[in-house]
Amino acid sequence: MQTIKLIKVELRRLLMSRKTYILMAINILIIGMGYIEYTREICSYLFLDSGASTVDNVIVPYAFGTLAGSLIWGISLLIDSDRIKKNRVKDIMSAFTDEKKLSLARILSYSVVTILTLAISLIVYMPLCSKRMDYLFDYESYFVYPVLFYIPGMLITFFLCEALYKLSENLSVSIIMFFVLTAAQITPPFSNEFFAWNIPIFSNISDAFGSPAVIRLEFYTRILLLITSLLLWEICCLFIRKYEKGAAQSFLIRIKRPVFLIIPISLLAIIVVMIIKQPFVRNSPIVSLDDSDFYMLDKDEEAYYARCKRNLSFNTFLGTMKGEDEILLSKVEDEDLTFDLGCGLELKSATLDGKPLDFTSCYVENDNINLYFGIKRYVVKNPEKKTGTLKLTYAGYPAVGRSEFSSGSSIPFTRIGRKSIELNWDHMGPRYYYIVGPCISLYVNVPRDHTPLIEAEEMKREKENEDGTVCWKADYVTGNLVSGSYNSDKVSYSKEDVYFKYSSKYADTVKSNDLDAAICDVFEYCDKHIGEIDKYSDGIEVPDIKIIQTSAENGSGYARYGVVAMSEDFMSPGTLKDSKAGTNMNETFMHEIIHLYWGDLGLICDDDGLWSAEGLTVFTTYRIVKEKYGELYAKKYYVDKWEQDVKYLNNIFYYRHPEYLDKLPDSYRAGIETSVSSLKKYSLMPLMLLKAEERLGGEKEMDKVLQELYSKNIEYQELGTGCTMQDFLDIAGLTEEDLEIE
Amino acid sequence: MSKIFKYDLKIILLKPYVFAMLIVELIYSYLILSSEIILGISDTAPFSGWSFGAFLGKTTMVSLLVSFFILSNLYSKRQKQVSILADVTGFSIRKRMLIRNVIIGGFFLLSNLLIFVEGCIFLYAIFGKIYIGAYIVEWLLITIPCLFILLGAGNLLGRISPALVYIFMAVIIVMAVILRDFGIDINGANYFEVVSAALESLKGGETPFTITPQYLCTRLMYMIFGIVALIAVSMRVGEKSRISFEK
Repeated sequence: MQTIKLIKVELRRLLMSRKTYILMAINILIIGMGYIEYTREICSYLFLDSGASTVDNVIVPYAFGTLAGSLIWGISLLIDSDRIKKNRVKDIMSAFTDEKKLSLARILSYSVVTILTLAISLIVYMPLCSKRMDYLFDYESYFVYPVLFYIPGMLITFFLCEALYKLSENLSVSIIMFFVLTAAQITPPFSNEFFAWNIPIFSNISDAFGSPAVIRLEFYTRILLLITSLLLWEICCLFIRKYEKGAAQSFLIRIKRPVFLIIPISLLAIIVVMIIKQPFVRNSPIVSLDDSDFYMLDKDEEAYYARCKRNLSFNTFLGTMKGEDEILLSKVEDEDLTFDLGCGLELKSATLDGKPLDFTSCYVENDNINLYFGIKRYVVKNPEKKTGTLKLTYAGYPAVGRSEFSSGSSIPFTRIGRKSIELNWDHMGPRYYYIVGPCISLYVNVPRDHTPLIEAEEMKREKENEDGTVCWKADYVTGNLVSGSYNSDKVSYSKEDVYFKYSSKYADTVKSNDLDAAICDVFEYCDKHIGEIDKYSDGIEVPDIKIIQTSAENGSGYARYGVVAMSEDFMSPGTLKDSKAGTNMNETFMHEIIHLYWGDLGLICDDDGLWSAEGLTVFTTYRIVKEKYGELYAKKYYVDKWEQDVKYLNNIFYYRHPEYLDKLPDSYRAGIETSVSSLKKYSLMPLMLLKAEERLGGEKEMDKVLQELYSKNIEYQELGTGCTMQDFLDIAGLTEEDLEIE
Repeated sequence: MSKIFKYDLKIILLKPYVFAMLIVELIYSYLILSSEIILGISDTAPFSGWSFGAFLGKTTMVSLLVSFFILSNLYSKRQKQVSILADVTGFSIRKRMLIRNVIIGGFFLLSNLLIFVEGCIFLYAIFGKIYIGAYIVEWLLITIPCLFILLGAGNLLGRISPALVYIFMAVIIVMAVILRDFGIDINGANYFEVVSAALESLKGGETPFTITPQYLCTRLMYMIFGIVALIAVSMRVGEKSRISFEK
C-alpha cells in the first residue's frame, strides 16, 4: 500500500519536472535518428545488417532508441537515487519509509514514463514507417517488436541501476559499472541473444512470413533477463545500509532473517529452471561442420514395413509441433529399431500393437552432420522381433544444436507461426535408415489459409479438422515443408517450365520488376554456356523445376531436388532499390539457380575443401554478371574481391600454421575452419578457374571445357561419385601448378 | 609514517569497489584474450609480440582509467574537507602526497602485473609457447609511461579541479578509440595493431616483431611529460599551496 502511495508521489514528481520532458524528447528524437542512413550504418554493427524492410524501419530505430534510452534514463535514475544521499536526508527518509519500497516506487515510476515515451514514439513515427515500408507495413510487427525489447530493456536497466547503487552507494561507481555491463554485451562471449539486455541483438526478420521464432526467443530472454535483474536488485537491497552500519554489516544482519531470503532464492530457482528448460538451444556437443562425415552404422536393414503413416500437427502460438508415425512392420530382422529425430523433438512413446516398448537416445560420436544440427539417435527395443503396428509419438519445440548456435545462427530454419510454417528436413519427423519400405504417407494439419508445399510441390487437400485446421496429404521421401499464403507463376524459357512460388505480399513486386524474365535469362545463359538441364537429382527424377521464396531468416538459399529456395531478401524494396543493382541478394538469386547445374540436378562435385560445386557456381555467376553488367563491374565486385579474400586467407595465422589450430578450443576451431573453408570454396577456387580460363585462351575455350565436364554428369551419377579437380585438369590439359595462386 | 601509510591505504584502496574494479579488469583481460588475442592480432601468432602488446595496451587502458578514478577521489570535496584537518597535524604535505602516489602507483603496477601474468598463463596453457623477454619489454614500455602520466597529469589536473581528471579520462578514451590510426594513444595499444596490419598488407605472411624508434619516442615523450607534471605538482606542494587549498 505504501509502495503505491510512493509511486504516486514519485510519478507526480517526475511528471512535474522539466527534466523528464527533455529526456523524453531526446529519447524520441534518438529513435527517429534510426531512420537516417548514417545512424543505420552504425547500428548495423550492434544489431543487424539487413535489407529486410522490418529491420530497417522498425528494429533498427527502436533498438537504437532502446540502447540510448537505457543510458539516458538509467543515468537519470542513478542521479535521482543519489539525490537523497547528496542532500543528506537519507536517515530522515529511512525513518518514515522503507528504502526498498522507495527504490521499487522509483523503478515503477520511471517505467511508466518510459512506456509513455514509447507510446508517443510509436504514434509519431507510424506514418513515416508506414510510408517507407509501403505494402510490407504490418501493424503487428510495428507494435510487437518495439514493445518486446524497449519495455523489458528499460525495466532491466532500472532494476540493474538501482541494484548497482544500493551496492555501492556511490554515483560514479554505479555509472561506471552500468557502462561496463552495457559494453559487456558487445564483447564475446556475451554478444548473443541471451545476454543482450539493452542492446537487442536480432537474427534476421521476415517481412512477409513473420518471425515467430525470433519473437519467442526475444520474449523468453527478456523474461529471463528481467528476473535476473530483479534477483540482483533483491540481493543488492540486502546491502541497504542500516543506521550507522556498513554494507557488509547490514547484509549480515539481514540474511540472518530467512524472510529476506525467500524472494531471492525463489527467483534464483526460477532462473535456473528457465536456463535448464530453455527450448531454443540444445546441449549437443560442439563440432565443426567442415570436417563432417556422414556417419552410418555398418549394419543391415533392421526391419521392413508395408505402410507408414505420419501425422504432423502444430501449435502456431507456442511454436511447438507433435507427430505420430504409424508403421506397419511386415518383417523384423533386428531387435533394435534405429532412427534419428531433429533437434528439440523428443520421442514421447513407442508402442507395438498397443504395448509400450523401451527406447534409448544419444548423440552419435563422429556423426558430425547430425551433431552439428543437434540431431539425436533413438533406438527402440523390440527384443522379440515382433511384427505389428509400431506407433511412435514425438513432440517438442524445434531447436538448434550448440554447434549451430555458437557458429552464429541462433534461429533454426524450422519456424512455426500463424503466418507461415517452415519445417526443415531434420524436423520432418523420424528418419529411418535401417527400417525400409515404400514412401511415407504424410499428413500435415495447417491453418485454413495456408498452402503447404513439400519441396515447393503442392500437397493434396484431404479434409477440414474440427479445430479449424486443414489436413493435407503427400507421399514423402525427404524434403522441407513450407506452408503459408503463396502465389505461383509458371515461367517458361526455351527448354522447360519453371514454377516460381512466392508470398502473395510480393505479387506487385514480381510484376513491376519483371522477375519472371530475370529468371528466364539465367536459365537461358546456363543452357547455352554449360549444357541443358537434367531433371535427375540423386538418381530420382524431379517432376518440375521450382523456385520458392522463403523467410528472410534463412539468410541465403539452397538448391535441392530441383527446388531453388531463396530468402525473401532478394525481393525486398531495399534490395531492388539498391544503387548497386545486380550485387547482393540479386546475385544470390542467380547463384542458387546456377546450383541446379553445378550441384543439384547437374554435375556433382567431390568436395575436397577447395574443389566444390560452390566454386563453379560462383565462377558462372561472375560470367553472367560480366555479360550483363560489363567487365569493369565484374572485376570490381568479383575478381578484386576474390583476390582480397585469397590474400586474407593466406594471411590467416591458423591457415599458415594448422598445427596450432588443434590447440584451440573446439568452438574457436570450428569457427576458423568454417571461415577458411568458405574462403577456399567461394574465392580461391573461382580465382583458380579464372586463371584456367586465361591459360586456356579465353571464355570460349573455358566454356568448351566446362561443357565437356558437365556432359559427364550422367557418368558420375551412374558411378555414384563426383567430379574431382583432377577430372577438370585432365579435360583442360592443365596441371595443378598452372592454377596456383600466389 | 607507517601509520599514515596504513591510514591512506585504508581510505584509498581497501574498499569493496576497488576490489570489484580489479576483478572487472581481470575479467576484461580474459575476454580480450579469449575473443581477440586467441585469433592473433593482424594475423600474427596469438603469442607473438604484436598480439601480446595489443593485449597489454588494451587492458592497460582499463586499469589506467580505474587508477585515474581512484586518484580523482583524492581531490573530491570530502577529501578536501578532511585534508584541512590533516594538514594542521604537522606531517609534511609532500610526504603525504608521496605516500598517496606510492599507493595509487602501486595499485596500478600491481593490476598491470596481474594482467601480465594472466596473459602469460593463458597463452602458455593453450599454445605452450610464450616470448617472455619481448613481453617484459612491452610491459615496461606500456606501463612505465602510463604510471608517470597517471601520477603527473592526474595530480596536476586533480589539484585544479577533479572534473578535469574525468575530462582527461575521456581524452584517453578518445585517443585510443577515435584517433586510432595516429598511434598516439597513451596506453600504447594501437601501435601493435596499426603497425602490424600495415606490415601485413605490405609484405603478407609472417610479420616479424619490431619496435620502431617512433614508438619508443612516443613512449619516452609521455614518460617525460608525466615526470615534468609530477615535478610541477610536488614543487607547488608547500605552505603556499596549503593556504590556497584551505581557501
